[in-house]
Amino acid sequence: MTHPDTPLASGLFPAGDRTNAPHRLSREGRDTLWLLAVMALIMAVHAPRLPWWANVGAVLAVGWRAQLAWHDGPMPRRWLLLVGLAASMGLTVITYHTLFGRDAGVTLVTLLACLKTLELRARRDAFVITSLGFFLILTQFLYSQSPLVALLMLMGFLGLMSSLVLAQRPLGRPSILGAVGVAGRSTLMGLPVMLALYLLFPRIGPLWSVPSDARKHMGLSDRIQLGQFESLATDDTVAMRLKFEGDAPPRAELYFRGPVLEVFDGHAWTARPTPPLTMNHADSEPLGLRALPAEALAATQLHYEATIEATHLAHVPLLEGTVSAIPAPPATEPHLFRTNLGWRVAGTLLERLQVRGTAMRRYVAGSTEEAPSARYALALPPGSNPRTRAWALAWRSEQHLNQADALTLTKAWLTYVREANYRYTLTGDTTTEGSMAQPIDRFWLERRAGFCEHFATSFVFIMRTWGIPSRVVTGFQGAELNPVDGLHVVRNSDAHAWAEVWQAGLGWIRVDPTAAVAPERIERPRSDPAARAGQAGALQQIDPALWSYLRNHVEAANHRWNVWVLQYSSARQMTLLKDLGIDSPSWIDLIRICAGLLTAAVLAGFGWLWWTRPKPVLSAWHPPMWRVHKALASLGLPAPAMPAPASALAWSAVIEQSPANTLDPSTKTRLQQALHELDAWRYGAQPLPTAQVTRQTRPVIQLLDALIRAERKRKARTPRY
Amino acid sequence: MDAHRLPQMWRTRWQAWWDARTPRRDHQVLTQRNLYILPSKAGWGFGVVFLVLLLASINEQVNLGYALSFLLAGAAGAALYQTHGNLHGVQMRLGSVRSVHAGEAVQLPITLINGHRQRGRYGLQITAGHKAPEGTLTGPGSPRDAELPPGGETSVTLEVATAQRGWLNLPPLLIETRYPLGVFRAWAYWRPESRVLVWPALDLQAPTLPASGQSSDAGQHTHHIRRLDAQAVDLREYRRGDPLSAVAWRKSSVSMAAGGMPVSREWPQGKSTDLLLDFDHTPGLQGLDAEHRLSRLASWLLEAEQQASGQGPLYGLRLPGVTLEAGRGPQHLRHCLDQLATWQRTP
Repeated sequence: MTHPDTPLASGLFPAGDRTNAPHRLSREGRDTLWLLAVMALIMAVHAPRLPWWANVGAVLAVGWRAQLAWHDGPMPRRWLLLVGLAASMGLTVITYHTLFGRDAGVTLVTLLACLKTLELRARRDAFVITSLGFFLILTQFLYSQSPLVALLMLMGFLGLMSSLVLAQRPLGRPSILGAVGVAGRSTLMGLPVMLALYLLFPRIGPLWSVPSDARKHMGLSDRIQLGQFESLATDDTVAMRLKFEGDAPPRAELYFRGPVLEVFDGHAWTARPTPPLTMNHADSEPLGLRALPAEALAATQLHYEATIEATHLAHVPLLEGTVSAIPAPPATEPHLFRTNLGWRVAGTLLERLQVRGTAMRRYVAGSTEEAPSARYALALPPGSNPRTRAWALAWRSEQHLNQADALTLTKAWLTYVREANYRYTLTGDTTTEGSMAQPIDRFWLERRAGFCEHFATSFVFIMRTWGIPSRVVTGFQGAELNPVDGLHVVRNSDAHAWAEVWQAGLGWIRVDPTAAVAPERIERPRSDPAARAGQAGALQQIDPALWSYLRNHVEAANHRWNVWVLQYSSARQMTLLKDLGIDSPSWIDLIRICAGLLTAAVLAGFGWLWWTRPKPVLSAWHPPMWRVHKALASLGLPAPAMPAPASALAWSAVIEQSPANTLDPSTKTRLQQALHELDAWRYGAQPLPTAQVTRQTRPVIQLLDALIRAERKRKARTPRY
Repeated sequence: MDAHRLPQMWRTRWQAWWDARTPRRDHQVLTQRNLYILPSKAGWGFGVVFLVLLLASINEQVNLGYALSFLLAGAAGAALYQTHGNLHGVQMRLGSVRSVHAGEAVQLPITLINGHRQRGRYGLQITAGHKAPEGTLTGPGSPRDAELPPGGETSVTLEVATAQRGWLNLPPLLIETRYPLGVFRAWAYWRPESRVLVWPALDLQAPTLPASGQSSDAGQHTHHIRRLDAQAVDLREYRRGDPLSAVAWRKSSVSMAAGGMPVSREWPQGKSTDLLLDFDHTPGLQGLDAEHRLSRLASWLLEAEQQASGQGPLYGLRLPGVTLEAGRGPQHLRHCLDQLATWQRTP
């Protein structure tokens, strides 16, 4: 292996060169460093997603190549690259157990690009490495399509393009900034084509399904295991945005219903297996609203439109009490089904979804449902959390509640929790694994501090111990109004867990145990999300008003970005066509318009070529001299032997030598005078300034014209022999 | 019809059409008519990259992926026009071409003129004749890179290999560019009008110049080289320009002592003292074929001119059907070499 620090390599670059003379980077070295910097920018965004060994490998490879470029050192041996390649593939398989998943693929492509840089010569390999760069940019968009990522990747794109430009200029040392400018020019010229294709290229569904990784997602979960739910509260990303028609309900009413967790195995709460869905499922499930007079029903209806981020679950977290939900027009897909009083789609919600919904306020749900089967709503695994179970039974006897119904028991429990010094905290339990074997015992009897999950699961556990059908519901609670665009924003940190108990005759009744302990969590907006997340909110502390102003504007822009850029779909294309005046648009119209615009672009290109063609630089004397030349030639005089238009003096000579009877003598003299005048103006001691040529020569030209006209008339009168 | 003749016929027709399309001229302006453009090899690769990006975007439903793919396509489309515009309007002028001996490379001085006052022309590459294999940097067929600043011009020198004597039609010159992105290659062919006369190859094994142009057995002519130490025929007054070796020093000293001018020796010209190189009779040529004789004569002519520019004898050339009287100087040498280059044995 030839390492740059071996004596051989340092011999090639004497130490004196490095220390005394200022280092002059070679052209190739400079271009390579530039390309490496661009690639590093593109890959850096991936860094948090890659395993640590991949990051270390990437930094080593790119750093080594940069050092070689700096000193124009020799490239590493090929076998070393092969070893690197084998190691990358091996480690990828060990980490992901495959080479083909999304994460594994991205890791591998990143490493391949890094290894490729080690045999990179900026000019020769520009195409290979920039192609890899474009792929890497695309992989960024698989994870995030935020404006920031888009901006960074646009910079990366221009950088890659500028590398291509540099590769096409082998001579001299063209400036990098100039190359970026040229690349930017090409990109700008291509922008209309890009916009037209982006808007009008028919959007079709996935051509084939790729094995999608179960991505780590924040927010909604269809599984609760105590002690595993901690990262959520710190995740301030947006989960959904709502626009209410009319007044928004108070914050305490904003429960967004996600998965209902009924099955407890001693450690984790999960949803009960769903029966297969049919298209008319939504109609078949009883709505179970308590009958209200029709007018009252209308008065409590709440219409809203929600933009829900991908949940990676079947569940679509909509406002509780939502009785109808359809994809916001013009979209008609996907179909939404009602299940367990919540909503879901047939598959998995992998994309942002816009829903138009109608919800009932002050409803009591599920009253017409049959009593829940003991199999789910009452089941507790034997031997699970025995101390809590014992405590619950003892406490009920103590409180003389053995015969009480669900509502009475719920009220008694809530009172107990409020008075018994339970604390609400987001800090995770740092206890050892052993005591977590019975998580509810640990929380309810020992730690007595926790967050929504702890309270909700403990409540359901105790209720089931008492024989009351109950279940855990997860979802979001609360929303924040952004005054800039009037949208309510629900964040992943608003994720919440609550409970429901069954009361015969009333149905499922929502109980939020957390509200009993930390009512501010439910009723007031979170005052300090950043600080809660442990971030340094410096600006926020200095100027809270400015902070919220900026934040609101950024989020409004973000929403616009989502709607207009990221959610652009075939449905929106059709709307666009309708706006353009096509009554029943189809994808054939799209193709037609695409083709038309592309033709226009091609023609515009030709126009540009014509417009920017090199134009011969003509002197201001050119047009007047042409007039003289043509006029004199039309008299039948022989043109002087020189390129047309001939000079005034040359014409004067021709006239001088013309046979006596060709011209009238007085005309001849005056013609000569005019020509001499022109010549003096052009070549005399004080030539006319260029700007005055046209104006000054006009009278002389007119005189010449008149003379020539008269001469022609004279000739016409003169009989020919 | 003969199966072999068909392609040949088409080839001839193609060549005729092509020659009519690209008339020979020494000054060429690149316009829509003579410029061609197609995707380069890298451009096709770019197309594949675009398709893969588009497929991935469709499959993963990534809108920014669509944007990326289309931005790439748009930029490449713009590059089509920019690459074409990079050559459009460039003027090329061929300078004067000097004759060389066969086997040496002809130097073609080419002046490139931008013709556009705002736009520079970058990444131009010019090749004469068949392109040398990739990486050849010098010699015939190696490409020359050029750049033209806005409104400026530049010169490059191309080399053309020569194989045989005679008039050489210059091969078509290829000017091409891939600037700015390298995805398209625009090119034009230019057939210069000038021809160049290629002299016979130099004979490296040629014996030294024979003392006499006439072989001993061809006795009717008596051409001898008059040696310097042989009798001086005439003495005359020194004139400016006489070589020092021609000055008769002893006579001069006498003459100058008498207040006169130095005295120079003078040999009668065009007489038996001249060296006549004869295709048929000069010794050292016997037993060689015609081309080899011409080569040897060419080498001898150079040698004879070198001698004659000193105090050597004048030299002449006789080929079957042509005789050039003895003389000296670059013009004379050129005349002789040109005769060698164009001489044909008349039956």
